[in-house]
Amino acid sequence: MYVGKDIPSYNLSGKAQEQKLQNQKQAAEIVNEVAIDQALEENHTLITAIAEALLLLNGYHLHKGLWRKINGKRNQ
Amino acid sequence: MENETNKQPPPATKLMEIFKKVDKEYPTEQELKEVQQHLTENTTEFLALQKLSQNLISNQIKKTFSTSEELRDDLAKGAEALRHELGYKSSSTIEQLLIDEIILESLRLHQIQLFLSELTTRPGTQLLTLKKVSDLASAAQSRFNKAVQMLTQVRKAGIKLQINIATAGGKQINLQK
Repeated sequence: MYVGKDIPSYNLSGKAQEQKLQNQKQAAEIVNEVAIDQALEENHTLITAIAEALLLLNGYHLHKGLWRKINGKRNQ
Repeated sequence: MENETNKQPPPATKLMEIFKKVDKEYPTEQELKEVQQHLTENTTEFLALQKLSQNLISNQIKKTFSTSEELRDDLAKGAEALRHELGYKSSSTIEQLLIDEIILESLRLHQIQLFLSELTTRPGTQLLTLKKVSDLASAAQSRFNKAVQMLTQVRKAGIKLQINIATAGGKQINLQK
């Protein structure tokens, strides 16, 4: 059966085309989620940096993952 | 949204630079003074930026979360209840910032977990995609835990954030809350 000399690349079967569209939609969703995550990460870094700076100013320091009060050594 | 969030405000960038210098066991008095000075000079900017970015992100999450107005209302009520439970009104400014961060991350955690479970049941989802979204959920959980820990620590230490407000006459009013 003759189907023509040029078969266009978009001539996919219905199911394959549907899958392609679904993949594109999913990729866009992931890009959106990553952008939200990036914004949240920046926001979080800033807030915790302010809180940590205040703890340092109030004589606390981070020791093995825990904030502890410095017992006067800093001023020596 | 990406363009808005990629612009790191100058006071925050400077704070991060200064903070890296003092992030050690025994920072010097001079280094601590530098932090203090930078914080007091830029507090209002930090607070304005934080409130603005939190509102932006929270709206974005709600938009992504659902198209149902009812569900969005429920979420807003839930967030308000959590804020009340954590004693928002009677808290200091830094505590309020951390409470907002906890609420924001709890919303995000909820949304990303729903998205992950929806992806799991969606036919044709690649394993790599699931791994990526699962990593995002872990990151949200870790930020939530850190915010809770910081709130506990700040409350334990009884820390207040000093706020300087510039008046019309050029004078600075100093508030401790």
